[in-house]
Amino acid sequence: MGSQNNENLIEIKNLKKYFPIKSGFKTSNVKAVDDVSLFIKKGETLGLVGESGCGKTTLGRTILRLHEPSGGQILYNGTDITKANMHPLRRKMQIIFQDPYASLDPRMTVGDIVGEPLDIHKMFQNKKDRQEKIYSLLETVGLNREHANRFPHEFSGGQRQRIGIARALAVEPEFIVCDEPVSALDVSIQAQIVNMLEDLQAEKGFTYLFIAHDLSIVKHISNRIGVMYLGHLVELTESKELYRNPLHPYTQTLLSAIPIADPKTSRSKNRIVLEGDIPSPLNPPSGCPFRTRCPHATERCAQERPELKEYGSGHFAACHNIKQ
Amino acid sequence: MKLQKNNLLSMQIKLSPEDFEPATKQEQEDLNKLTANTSYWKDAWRRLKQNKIAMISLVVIILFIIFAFVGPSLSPYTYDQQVRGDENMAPNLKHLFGTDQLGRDLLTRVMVGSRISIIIGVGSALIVLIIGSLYGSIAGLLGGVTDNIMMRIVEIIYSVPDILIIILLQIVIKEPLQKAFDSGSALGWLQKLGPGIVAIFIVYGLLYWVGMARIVRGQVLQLKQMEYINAASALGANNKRLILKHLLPNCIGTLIITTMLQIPSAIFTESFLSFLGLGVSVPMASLGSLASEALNGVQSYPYRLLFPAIAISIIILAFNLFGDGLRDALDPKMKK
Amino acid sequence: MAENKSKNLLEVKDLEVSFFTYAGEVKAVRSISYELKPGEVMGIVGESGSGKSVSSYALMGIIPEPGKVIGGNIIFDGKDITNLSEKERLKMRGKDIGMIFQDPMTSLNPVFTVGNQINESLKKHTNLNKEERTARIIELFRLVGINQPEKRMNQYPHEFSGGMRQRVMIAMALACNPKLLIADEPTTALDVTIQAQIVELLKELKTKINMGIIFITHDLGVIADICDKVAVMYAGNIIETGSIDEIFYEPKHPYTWGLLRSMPKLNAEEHERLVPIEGNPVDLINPPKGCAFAPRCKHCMKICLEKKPPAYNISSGHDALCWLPIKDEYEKEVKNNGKSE
Repeated sequence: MGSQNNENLIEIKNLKKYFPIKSGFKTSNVKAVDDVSLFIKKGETLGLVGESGCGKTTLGRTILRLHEPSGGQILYNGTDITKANMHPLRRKMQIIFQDPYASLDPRMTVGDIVGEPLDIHKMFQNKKDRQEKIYSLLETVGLNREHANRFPHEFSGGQRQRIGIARALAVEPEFIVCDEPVSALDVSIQAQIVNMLEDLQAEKGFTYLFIAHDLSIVKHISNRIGVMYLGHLVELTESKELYRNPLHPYTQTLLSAIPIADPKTSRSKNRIVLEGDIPSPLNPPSGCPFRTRCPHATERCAQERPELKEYGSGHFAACHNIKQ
Repeated sequence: MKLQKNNLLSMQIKLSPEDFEPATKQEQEDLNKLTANTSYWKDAWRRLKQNKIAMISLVVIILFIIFAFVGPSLSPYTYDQQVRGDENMAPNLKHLFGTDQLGRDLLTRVMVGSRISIIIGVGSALIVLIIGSLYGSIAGLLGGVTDNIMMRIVEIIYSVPDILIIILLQIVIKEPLQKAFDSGSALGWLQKLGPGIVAIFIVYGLLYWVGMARIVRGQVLQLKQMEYINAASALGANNKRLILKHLLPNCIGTLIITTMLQIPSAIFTESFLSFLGLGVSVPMASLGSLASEALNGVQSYPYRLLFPAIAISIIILAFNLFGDGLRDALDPKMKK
Repeated sequence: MAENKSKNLLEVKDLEVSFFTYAGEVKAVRSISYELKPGEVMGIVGESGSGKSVSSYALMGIIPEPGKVIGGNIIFDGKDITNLSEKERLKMRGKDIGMIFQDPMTSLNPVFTVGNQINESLKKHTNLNKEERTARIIELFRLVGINQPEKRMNQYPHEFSGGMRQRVMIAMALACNPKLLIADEPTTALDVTIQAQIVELLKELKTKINMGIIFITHDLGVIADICDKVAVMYAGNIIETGSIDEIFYEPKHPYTWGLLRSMPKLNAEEHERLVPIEGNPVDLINPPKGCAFAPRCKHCMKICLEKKPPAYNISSGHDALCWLPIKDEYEKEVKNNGKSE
């Protein structure tokens, strides 16, 4: 995967993020992201799925350097930004948060929230131009200019998420990390936001890293999908291919565990139900992280960690037991 | 109401074909009325108004401020005016609170004393607010080693016996301050208050902000986990912006409450120091120094002690009760 | 439904719940009615603020302040329990009606072992002796799939993972063989693979124990998996109720259509644009005069703006709160009248 390709907007190589945990005098590490490599092409949407604690959110934030990486490299447009001054890059890379309630400062008006990036990067000297920009941003995300003087708590979840998107758009970024942008929203509102993100991408050519635990939404919006488990990337491929031909046993269970809103299908479906819980990231299993719950685990899985290998064009998986 | 299919509809409800015409977009949109929303402040004010004790305290505080700041200019006497022949008078119509041994009107002196006390209370609380909130938010936001060092300093200051420091400082500071006043380089009104009060401000600036710093740090530690702080850093906001635009405005409830409760404690400290003779310098009066002066003749003239003592009690009680009410109003979760 | 002779376990009639806030009365539940038979699983699906949880809190008598039941009846097992005293409720809670919550951590006491907590409930509601109670707890833990029950029952809640805690909650709810189990978003806080475990467990329990289950969720997928019948709630009303197949394959209310259509299909071969329900959730303090869904409805008619639709019976057990099917019926009637004249 290390191929130098100038079509890749983001490339990460062996990225690691460990959080130190102090217990008594011992300091151990939670390996939230462990040795993940992937690339995101210009204009594409890369989906990232996994369950809580799998490190998908940490990965997204480490790419934006909201967390400092513990190892590995982050390339943006071919330049290494692992140690770079992020201030100018904040205009290129943005993030949309999961919780539309916690991600907006309750003491600021909507206009000030959306205008904050304009002030930070001193994008407008003229007050009137700044105000016009705020209005146009609000209209882009389907709100009115009258909303600028209101406070976040006066809005519903979906509207707040729109405000958060307007704030991210203010700096005219190229790359946006969408960190579970619809998980906290009602089903009927989710579709509004997903459609809007798609429209914005078509119009402005954004590149998205779309993080979610809901595989059906990730599959809907993404070109390619990466599946994470306990800090590792276990499978990465095109989204249709992932659905049609999941190679990693974890991906298979994940697909089978998703409840389908169709009583007839779910009656006939034979679901793979995993035994046991997700291991604690403080104390991950040796070898393959999934082996404790994997129905096909062998002796070898406990000994060595499987590397991410390519099976078919662009279909990567990390498992010892894939026959091909 | 439940309609049954087997019954004819027209028997159950009156309908006309017009009812089933499609509604226009405009008609649909008109249904989306915007409701008036309550803001944080309106909400707090509503809760405060429900709290009778707090409201009474607020009225008392306002009356007291009028008494202290407007009162002296309405009085026919000044605080240092010695009326010949009126020495040692008991309360009467000419001097409502009586006079002292030099013939000074006690009512006027209590008013002026209250003014000094309030100025000291509010001034010290503001000093504490500014130093404490900045120090606390910087420590909380930066975290790690910086936080560790900054909080150790706070603990050291905490463990110093404050009265001792105050007395020492008063003595050390008085001389150079007096010199500065004499040379006329200091502000006029400060000069009038005398070096004692300025020393109290300095002591507050040096010692009493630590409580505020601890409280603010605790709040900031909580707030910095919030997504909107992450959002601001993702937008490129620096620490100064995070503190001034996001963290402190979101601590505002705590800041107001702590400041409000700081006022009576400062007034109390001042009275106490003045009582010991370390506060304002004569002929200026403060509630504490009035009480102290009255002590000499307390058996013959008990009212001289009574009036300033009542004033101190009322003002401290009112500020405390109002502060408690404010806390309940601004932070409703604390109550339940 | 007079033709149906089998006894209902639960009958809710015109239940109304309001919250009296300083900003005004918030009608969280506005006249809902439904029935549940023993062994039946009813799903209540709805978005946040639809009143789905509040309606079930009313059954337990645990509506948070400043909420109140202001109308209607709840008849459980032939007895009206709408206005029970707190004492009678305490007897009923945990014994006749069990409840599991979205967040098991907040409903387990962190300072007692889980075995201790189930033991308390058994002590209160049954007259088993100490050994029998321990045996019952072990039996319950086996039932809900907790391994090594003898060891696990002496552990504290924090020693359990999220999924395991939910199993403990289920064991606790089942301890006294309740006739009705209310599951309030029991899987929402869990990961997909753990959610699958819990759903499978509840399905298994449903066949093993003949109790009625009310399953509250916003996830239509989970509903499709586990329920026999569904009530769809919007703005405090049950806008459509019917058997699972009726709701999924012959929905009659535009909101139900919208809900079903707005979800991405996992098996879609080509990229299909999602069809959202436009607009924002209704403001419960100041709801529209007519149908609550009117501002967002694509089929909104003049009458919808003015009058709240009645519950219209489409077929036995399938009701919709909508003017659209009434419109069809009305047009048919007008046509027939024209012919007969």
